[in-house]
Amino acid sequence: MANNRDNNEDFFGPIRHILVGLLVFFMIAIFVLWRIDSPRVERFRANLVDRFVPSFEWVLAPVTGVTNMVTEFRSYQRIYDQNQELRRELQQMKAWKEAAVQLEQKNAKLLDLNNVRLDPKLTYVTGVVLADSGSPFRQSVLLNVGNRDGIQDGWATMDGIGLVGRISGVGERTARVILLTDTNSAIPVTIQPSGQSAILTGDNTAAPPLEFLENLDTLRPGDSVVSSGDGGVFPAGLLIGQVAQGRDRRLRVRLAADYERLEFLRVLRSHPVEEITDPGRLIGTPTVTPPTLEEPTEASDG
Amino acid sequence: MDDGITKSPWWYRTLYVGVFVVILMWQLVPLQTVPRAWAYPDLMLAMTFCWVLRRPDYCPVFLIALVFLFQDFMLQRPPGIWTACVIVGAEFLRSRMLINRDLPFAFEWLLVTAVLIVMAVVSRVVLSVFLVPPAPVALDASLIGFTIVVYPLIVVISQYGLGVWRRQPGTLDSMGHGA
Repeated sequence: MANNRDNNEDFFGPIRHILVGLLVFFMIAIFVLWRIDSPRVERFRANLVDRFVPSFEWVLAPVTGVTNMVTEFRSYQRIYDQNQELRRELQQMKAWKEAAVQLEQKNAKLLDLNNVRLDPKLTYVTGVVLADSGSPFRQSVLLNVGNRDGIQDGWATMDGIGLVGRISGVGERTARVILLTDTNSAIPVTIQPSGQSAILTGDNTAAPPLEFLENLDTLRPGDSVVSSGDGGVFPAGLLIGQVAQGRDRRLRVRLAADYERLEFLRVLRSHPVEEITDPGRLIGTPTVTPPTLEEPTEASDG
Repeated sequence: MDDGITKSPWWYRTLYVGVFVVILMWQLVPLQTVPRAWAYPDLMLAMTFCWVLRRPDYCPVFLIALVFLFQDFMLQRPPGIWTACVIVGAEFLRSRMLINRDLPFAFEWLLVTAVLIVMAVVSRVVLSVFLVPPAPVALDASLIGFTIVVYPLIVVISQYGLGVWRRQPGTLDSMGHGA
């Protein structure tokens, strides 16, 4: 009998109501804390993910592998069509390759003439994609490189061809990459032939839209979009994709990176640009002598 | 018929966490990196509601809170708010358990549908009040819609596959407690 009453109290008693109320209050408190002090909670989140996900790598890797094999096996069914298509593309590519080689030579010559130095500091760390965000509400992937590899928040991430996203959230062994398609992603870009700047804002679709464009007339689909380096977020000149017009008549970017298969990603080590705080230093050499020379002449004038 | 009598509730609690971990890992496998316009059903949520309506002792509120908070953190959601909604929803269903026992399944399904919709609306409203950019409506709607659609399936699996049957009045559980 006593047991029975305990049991009922377990389910419906007033103490239980209070406990549940406290629990809900605690959850809302976590939410409010996250809203107020997001970096701290996000750091906690990164540590939690860091603890949990790598320990399941042994499961994630085979499952990913097998599923990819199944999808690839499906593609064997269309192998003849694909073969024909590939041959056609190869023909076109050969022509392009010829053009590219010529351009490369020309470019090297011009760079040499101008004595341009490419930034030697721009090296990269390559990581393997461990997990995705797990829900369609967020577009991000988790890499198996982290703090111990010197990864820092904000670094640009590319696949072989184009920009994929930026690092946001670094754990000891893992780092999260917010993809360009995520709603939290906004990146200053330059559109190439016209040189216009815009902001590329993710909206959970495969082709993120361009915003804050000044002059729509100078743009046309196919223009290439590169990172502008404004605001010191990314190094300038990383390929992002091509301008295309979406079905909603907005200008969007068809991303150059292969989002279908994000497997190995490069994290570019970017180093903070030297800040120019004093406008005068832009012009002259930063020597200390000029002021001391000027002061006596001013005094003699007066 | 009632297999649950022979097994301790702790077995089912462990099973609950085990199913959660498997589902979570499946979600985390990096197969889908292209954004899509719709969401898969939330199987864990359907299972939680199903179990709460059948054997409330198998998923205590603290376990639900822990599981969903962890899920919030792992799936990059704003932490806490969805968990709070799930706790309130589950507790509401738990309080209706005894009444619901005598009604046909259609009523249960309707009840779960209503709770899910209210939860989704409330969490969206709270997020917009706190100026968190909300997810596309299509995603939330498809998540809730598919969850409602798979609910009967989850019930069938829970009952026939895992042995989570409703306790009949007069039977005792493993501890000798009455219903």
